[in-house]
Amino acid sequence: MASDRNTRTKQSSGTSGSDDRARGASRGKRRKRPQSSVNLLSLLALVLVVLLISEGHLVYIMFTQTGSEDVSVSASGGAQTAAAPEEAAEPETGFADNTEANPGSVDLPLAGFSSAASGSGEIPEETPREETEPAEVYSEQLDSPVVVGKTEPPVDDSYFSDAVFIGDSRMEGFRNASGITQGTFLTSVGLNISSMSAATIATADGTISVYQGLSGTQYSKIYVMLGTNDLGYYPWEMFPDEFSGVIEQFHKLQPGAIIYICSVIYLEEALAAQSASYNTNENVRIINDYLLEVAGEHSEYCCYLNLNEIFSNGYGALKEGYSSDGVHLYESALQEMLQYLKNHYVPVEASAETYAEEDTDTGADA
Amino acid sequence: MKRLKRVFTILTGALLLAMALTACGGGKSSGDITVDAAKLAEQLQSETVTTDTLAATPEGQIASIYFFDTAKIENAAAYTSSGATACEVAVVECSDSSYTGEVEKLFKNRAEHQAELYKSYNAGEVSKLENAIIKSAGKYVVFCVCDDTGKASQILKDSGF
Repeated sequence: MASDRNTRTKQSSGTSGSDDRARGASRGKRRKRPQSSVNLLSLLALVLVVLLISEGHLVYIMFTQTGSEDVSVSASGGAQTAAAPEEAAEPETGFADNTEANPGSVDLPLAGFSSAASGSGEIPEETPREETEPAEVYSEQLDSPVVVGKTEPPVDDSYFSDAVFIGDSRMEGFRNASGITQGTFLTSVGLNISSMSAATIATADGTISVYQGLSGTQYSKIYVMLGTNDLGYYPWEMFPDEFSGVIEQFHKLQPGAIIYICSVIYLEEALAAQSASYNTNENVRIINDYLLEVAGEHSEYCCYLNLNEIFSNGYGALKEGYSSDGVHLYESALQEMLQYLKNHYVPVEASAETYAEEDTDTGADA
Repeated sequence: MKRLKRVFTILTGALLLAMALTACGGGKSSGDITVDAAKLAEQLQSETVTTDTLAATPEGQIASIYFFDTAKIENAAAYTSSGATACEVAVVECSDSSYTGEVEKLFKNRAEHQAELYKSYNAGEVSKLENAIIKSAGKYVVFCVCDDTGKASQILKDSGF
């Protein structure tokens, strides 16, 4: 019975379906004309829209071409105007060279220059090259008995076998890429003088603090490279006291070690300031003065390595092409640093005590 | 009879294909592969790291970065950053495959620790560490923190990982 009903249902639905199709077909035929005219109209509208857009685009191109021609003219004009003083200007800036090489780029802000100085097409006339202040020359020859001078003969890697290197990502980069094969490293990315007690140093048994790392094995040399992550330290006046406290703690944990305090290496400001506004060489100089001051306070076991003797461009900044981000040094620069450490050391015979005596004598004479 | 032969041929073919596909599967490959660790590390760093220039790390320093038991390591090559980014590549050949699990764990620890540090230092690098590739095959383990993980996966796949 059920199958009969199904059959009937199927049959009836089949019949009604064919009727519908027939009706639909006839309706389709009847409606074909209006539908095709609607399609035609839509097509026409689409063509119109496309035409409007392309016309508008053409008009836009015409306007922008006129604009860019203006910019090009004024930019090249600016470069020509700048050509005369260019010979006398500092070669480091490369301002005119950039403009000349890429006239279209005058609208782009140049790193290290304000947008006003690198803005519209009229700017080159308003900012002639001669207005750029010449960079101040900075001597890296420091007059202090704690500054380690060049020592002959250079040591080899074995000198670092009883050394511990403490520092931030810059020191970590030194470990990774300088080629140094000896020494213990207590380094971590972002390390600053306030985080000496924080567990940031990775070891095989988990993370430890710098102080914990210095609590076991006794080392003969401690190289300290801190300060880059303290460039935004506030208030500045508190920095020497806190850093002095850190050095005293290092000495307490490692009484037989000479502590080499490394200067904060200069920055390539145009790149470095992008990450933080306080990343300036002016701040590097301030912090280095403090580091030197603290080294002097603890001269009986501290000395100072002025790494900027090799990294300064002569104008108180990192040499160009030494870093990808203005802070972290390339492999070749780190190799230079290793070489510097190898020929700037306190000779073996001058133990920490002898070194202190020499320093005291010098101080007494002065 | 002919029909039976055809069915048998098809079945054998399907079985062989299934076996081949299983051998090429992703994840931990158990295949006995041979890889030039230095070459693979160099290829990975040069083709997948675009935001930094990595430097070859001296073999003596590699263990101090990852804390391997050097007695259980046959060979290792690593490229590390100057500190500008979190990118790094390491390829390790263990003395035998039983140590690969431990090396994988050490790489995982390294990625997690670096991610924690970079959070406050350069947060943009954290995602690279979270997507770090750690793969092993046979006696080898690879660690790759890079910009192009797709390319890295392809290189590793081509190398038998």
